[in-house]
This record gives sequence, structure tokens and C-alpha cells, in this order.
Amino acid sequence: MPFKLIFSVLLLLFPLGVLAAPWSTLSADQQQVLAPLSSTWDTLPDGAQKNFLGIANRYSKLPPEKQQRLHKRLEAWGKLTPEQRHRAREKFTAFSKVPAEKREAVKKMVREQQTEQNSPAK
Amino acid sequence: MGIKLNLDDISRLLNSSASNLSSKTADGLHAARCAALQHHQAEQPTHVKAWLNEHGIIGHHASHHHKTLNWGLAVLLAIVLVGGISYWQNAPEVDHSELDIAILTDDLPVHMYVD
Amino acid sequence: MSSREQLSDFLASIERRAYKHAMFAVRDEAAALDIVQDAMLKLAERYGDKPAAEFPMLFHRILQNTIMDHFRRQKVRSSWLSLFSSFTQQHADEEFDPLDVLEDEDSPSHAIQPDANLQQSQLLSIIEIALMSLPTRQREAFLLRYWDGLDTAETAAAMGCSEGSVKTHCSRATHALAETLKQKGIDLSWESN
Repeated sequence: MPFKLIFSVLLLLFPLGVLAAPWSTLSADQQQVLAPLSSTWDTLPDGAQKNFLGIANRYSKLPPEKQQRLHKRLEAWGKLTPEQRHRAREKFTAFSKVPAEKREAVKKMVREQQTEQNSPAK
Repeated sequence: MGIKLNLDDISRLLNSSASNLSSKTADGLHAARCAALQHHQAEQPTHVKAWLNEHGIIGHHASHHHKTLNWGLAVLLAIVLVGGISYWQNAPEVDHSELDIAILTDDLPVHMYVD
Repeated sequence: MSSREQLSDFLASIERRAYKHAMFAVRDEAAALDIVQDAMLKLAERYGDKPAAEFPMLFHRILQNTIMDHFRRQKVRSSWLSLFSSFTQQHADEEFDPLDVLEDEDSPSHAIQPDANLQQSQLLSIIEIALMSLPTRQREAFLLRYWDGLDTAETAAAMGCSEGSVKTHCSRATHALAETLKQKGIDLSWESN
């Protein structure tokens, strides 16, 4: 009976502090911005939820193209573990301290790689 | 020194090497082939559907067993909601949202920053 | 339109050779397996409806591109890592320098003794190492022509180059192989019977 097993595992997990702000308690605006996370929201640790709410509250101030980009990436970001997000923040901070020309060179390389990968396999 | 090879010999040797892959590799290749074949026709979900149905993941089985589960789930949810809200109010302040927005709107894809 | 069985038969017939192709190029078992899986997926997804006769050429073309993608990704990744390693100098002990790995892989230093009575396995490893040390395009042309049995036109199509360059690659590869094998006391003759 796999379901019994799943439920007992969930029972053990829930009291450990997941489920801080249930999806249903979010405002309509928050729900709209965080829609990519709707299915996994209730499993996010409370710190992560709070953080995502912070993103949702700042969302309206972003230019449209940034909004679009953020929205597309939100789901993948939500799927990372808190540790992965933590390390990604560290890396991002480190990268933003790299001299601009070096940073640009890396970005250029990544862009080239992406355009080559997006072209069909001929 | 006396060893003579021609191109056919090389081909034969390579064939023997290819047929002697480790069983782990052979299994991996077999799995890769199966995965690829799954994508040959876009949809062929009959097996999957049958399986899911059989295991009660989809379909309607208003069995006694499932009703009990649903009640259990509802009670569980209630407990969790109460517990969760109190936890939420005491949760430590963690706000990386500015940084997260910067990452999520950056030129570089997010996976570059993920291990 | 080829059937699922045809595709399945084709993949079964080629998977081991495809893996060796990838291994010669990337020299990493896990990466080689990933590459083959990727190439199989792309063939099934994009070209599954092509006639089965075109599969070998199409598959090899996809395989080549997937291997190239792998190297590109690795290049980006290693420069990315080295960028960050400059920030983590304080952890110098556990520091990982991607260049170390690359340099290591570029110089296969397996010592094989010349011996008149070489076992088949020794013979094979000499040949495999000689193949690995060939330039990528030469090795590919050689393997596609003389191992996978594609003709010059098919090899050219699979490699995305002219038949003339296929011939050049093959001839250079054969000369280089003969030279390497000669040092091990092995005589490579051109004609195949």
C-alpha cells in the first residue's frame, strides 16, 4: 500500500515546519505572480515562502520584460532546495563582483552556446 | 615483429570491444533506447493510464478505503494549518527577495548559478 | 514512415558502437552514456518518421553534434568554474581546477610494451589509444567509413562536410594510425578484403 506509506511519511514531515502560509491565504496579486509555484507552494519551507512573497510584492515595480523573465524562471527556482538557492545566491554575488569585461566575456560565451544549441541538429 | 593488420581487422577488434561493454553500460544503453522509443510517438499513454487507474491515482473509486483517507487528510490539513500559522508568525526573518529578483531577471540563465 | 520496431532495431544495432564513438571523443563513461541517450532521443523525436534507411546517417550526424555540444558546455563550465575559483582562493586545498583535468585527459600515458605476441586485448587497447589520439574529425571519418561501414557520401552527410574532406580525413587518419602502430611493431596495411 504505497499511499499509506506516503501519508505516514507526510505525517512525519509536516510538523517539522513546512506549510507556513497556505496558498489559499495569499492575495490575488500574490497568487497571480506566484502561479508557477501554486502546485508546490504548500511544500516550501516557510523561509522560502516568505522570500517568494517578498518577490511577489516587488514584482509590479519591475519593467515588463523582467517580469516576464522572472515569471518563466520562478518554477525552476522554487524546485531547488534551500541549500541550492543559498549557494546560487553566493555565486551570483561573487559573479557580480567580477570585473565588468570578464563578466561580459562569460555572458557572451553563454549566449553563443545557447544560440548554437537552439539551432536544430541539422 | 610480425603482426599485420588491415582495416577489416581493426573493425573486427572494435566490434569485439563493443560487444564486451560492462553490464552497467549495456543496461544504461538499453534504458536509453527504451526512453528514446517512448518519444517516438508523441502520445501512447494507454499503459500509463491503465497503471494509474489500477493504482487508484486517477479514475473514480469511491471506496470505503479512500473515504477514510480523505477524512484523514482533512484532519491532517487542519492540524497543519493551525500549526503552520503559528510557526509562520514565529519564523525567523529571511529576506533574500531583492537578490532573488536580481538572479531571476539576470542575463545569465539561473542554472549557471546552480551546482 | 518507419515503424517503432524499425527504430528499435536500428537503435539496438547501433547503441554499442555509438557509445564507443562517444567514449573515444569524451573519455568519460557517464558523459558518453548521456550523449548516446541524448542522440537517441533526438533521433526518435525529430526524425522518427524518416525512412529507416536514413537512420544511420541521421543518427551519426546527431551524435556528432551532441558530442560537440558536450565540449562546448564543458568549455563554458570550466571557464565558469575557474572564474569562481579566483574567489575561493582561501580554500586552496580543496580547489578544483578544471584545467588539471583537461590536461590530464590530453595525454594518455598508458604504457604498453611492444611485444610480438600481443594478446588481442592488448592489441585492442593499443588501437583504441591510437584512435583517441587522432584529431576528432579524422577519427570520426575513419570510424564512420571503416567501422560503421558508411560510404563516402554518407560519411560526408553525417559529418556535414564534402566528400573530398572525408577522403582527406580518412587518409590522414590511416597514415597517423599506421605510424603509431608501427612503433608498437604492428604493420597496418591499407587494403581491406
